[in-house]
Amino acid sequence: MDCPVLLNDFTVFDIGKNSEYFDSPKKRFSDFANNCLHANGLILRKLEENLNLRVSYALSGSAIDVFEKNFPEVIKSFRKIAKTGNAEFLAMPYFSQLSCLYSKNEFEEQVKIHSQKIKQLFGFQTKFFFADTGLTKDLIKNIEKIKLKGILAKDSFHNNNHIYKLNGSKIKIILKNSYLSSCINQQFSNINWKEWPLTSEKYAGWINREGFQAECINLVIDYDSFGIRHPKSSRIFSLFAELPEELLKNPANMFRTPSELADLYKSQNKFNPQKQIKKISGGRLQINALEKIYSLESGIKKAENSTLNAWRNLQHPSIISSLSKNKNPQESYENYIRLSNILEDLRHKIGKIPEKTPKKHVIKQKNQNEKINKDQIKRIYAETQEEIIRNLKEVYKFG
Amino acid sequence: MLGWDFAPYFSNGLDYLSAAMLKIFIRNKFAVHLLLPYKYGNQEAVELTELKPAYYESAIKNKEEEIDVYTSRAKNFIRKNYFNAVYCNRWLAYKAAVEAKKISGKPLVIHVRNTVFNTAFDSLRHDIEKEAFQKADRIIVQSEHLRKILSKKYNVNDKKIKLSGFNIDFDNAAPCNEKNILMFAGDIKQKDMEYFARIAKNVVNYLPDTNFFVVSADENLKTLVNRAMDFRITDNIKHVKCSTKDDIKNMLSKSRILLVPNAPDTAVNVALVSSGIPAVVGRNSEIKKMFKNIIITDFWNARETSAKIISLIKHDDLASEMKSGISEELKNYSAKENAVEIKEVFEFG
Repeated sequence: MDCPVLLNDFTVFDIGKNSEYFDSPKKRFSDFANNCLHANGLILRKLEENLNLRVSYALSGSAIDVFEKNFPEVIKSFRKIAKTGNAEFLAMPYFSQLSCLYSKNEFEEQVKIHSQKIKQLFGFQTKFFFADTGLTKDLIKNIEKIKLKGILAKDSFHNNNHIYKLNGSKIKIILKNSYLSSCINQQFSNINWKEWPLTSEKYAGWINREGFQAECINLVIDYDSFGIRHPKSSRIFSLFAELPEELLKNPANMFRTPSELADLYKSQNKFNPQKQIKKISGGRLQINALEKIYSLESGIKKAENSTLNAWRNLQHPSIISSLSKNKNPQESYENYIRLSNILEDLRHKIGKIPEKTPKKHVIKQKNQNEKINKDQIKRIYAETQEEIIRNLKEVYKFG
Repeated sequence: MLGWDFAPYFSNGLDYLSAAMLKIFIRNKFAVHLLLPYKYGNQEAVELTELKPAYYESAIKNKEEEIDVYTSRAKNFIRKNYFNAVYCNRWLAYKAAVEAKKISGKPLVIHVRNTVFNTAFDSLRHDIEKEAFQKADRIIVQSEHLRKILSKKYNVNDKKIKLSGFNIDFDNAAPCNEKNILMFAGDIKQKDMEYFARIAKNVVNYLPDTNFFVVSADENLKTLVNRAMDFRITDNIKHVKCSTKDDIKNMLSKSRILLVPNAPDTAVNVALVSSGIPAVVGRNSEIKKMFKNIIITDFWNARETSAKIISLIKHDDLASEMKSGISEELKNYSAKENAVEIKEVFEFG
């Protein structure tokens, strides 16, 4: 579960004057929060009804932040789920999975922050890592160093239904079942899809068929599938209400969290890591932006908390993907301008660039939509008068 | 070909669109007779007649009278000469073009750059346009947006409107290190000139060594000069005259950013944007609908526009990204196809 971060229209004129970098999430996510509550209510009920059911969560830092500040009831509902003892919370970098590509230190710190936060909110010690990227040898070793026992990752080179191990390492690797997951994430409410409508019976049938030769089947469901991407009317909630019983009709099936799975099997399969993770596909702007962001790391780590936090939020994948030229180049350029201005503001804050001296003749422009009251008019009038007098003085100096 | 070209002219007195069309006509072996108010420079490949209304280079004093002089002199020529089709791309010459059709019975092709709805409203112009669009046999437009204006605001039959491609004339210009901003003002609205002055003021306040090159022969320049004096940025605003294509090339090579306001000539601006110089384009400009790798702005919002210009100057990597994006896009346009289309427009069954 993740909440995309949006940049405010931060212009060059805001540098050094304003620290409102991010769009307020309260409005944007109120629908999402409502649907989360609904989904969590359903999952809690299912967990209480059926003690064999298991569920795991990968909650990104941005989602935790949004809910903690604006919709605490969602956090409460996760706490209730955690209390059943049949849910696992997965470890991940708090702000951005991309950090693993640019800075080992930052990556480790972010995983630490995330795990502390999960502990604080839900009393759960994270043990298993959720990777939104492919896996390189380095990344696996890093995760092992943080003393986690396994990784759930995306991978298109291995059979998704087995448990793997890297040579010379103890950490277990399990993989997201891409096809079955995407049937829910992408296709479920698509009436042009040849499998539409997908019933719990049909879906369980597919899982049972794959299950013949599987050690595990990992369904990774995006939380915005619940009510946002697929509306309530698509019966998405009913699917999840019926699916556990439908699956348990087959005695060969059982639910396990990733950690339990890792304890259950001794992995015999060798994992061949990728040589390199393809960083991003949207072009030069994204790479430039990431390089610019991480070039500030050493200075920003000494800065005050709010500055550090802002810098970390800039790493969010949604910001980087908003720079992709594939969809709308005009928008990507504007986002790049915003990001570059914010980075310059951060550079000012950590003292890498001296503050610009205030310029002459700059009359403050008021926001067009702002309602100006009488006091403000008086003040602006006074300011303008002063400005005129100042200007006149200068004119006479030269004259 | 009935013309009324004036600065910023490109090729020996013809403006960009006329020069490009003339090239296409000659390539397709059409014999062209040009009717222009004045002969300027050297138009070798064609026959040319001067019709001499009072207007030349400076602003028109009495449009209605001058259009009438031009029209009646054009009529004299039309009665005495033979031709197969009438072509016109200046609204000032529309009236004469309609007369040419009436007298000769030959088909009329009008090439619309923009209409009174894209520029300052003028009832004389509106009436002339309306009649010309109704009487024309074919109308060439360069954007879907103009086609819509013609069919909605002028009730023109959609079947006679043809959409044509563009001639891309400028090679990619090398990136320029000077902080120079180029704007072809053309038929810019007075209000836009006012906004432009404010934009320039903001930019100069932030980056004092920025220069604005304004290419225009329009009366609106007065507004700009007055405002520039008010804001004390006269040193940073330079009025430039571009008479030939080489002048334009020279200006492009000196410019860091291209500013494209809402109104002016689409054909010129397409050619300029195609040079790959990063363009900041007005939200209501035709260009906005034709290129993706540009920055869109609201001109009335001086703060927004100047902030975008400053950011573009500051971030070279952004500029080079836009440049490569534009060259990608240009692969889809082709001058050859354009010529074929234009030829088809003149094939009357």
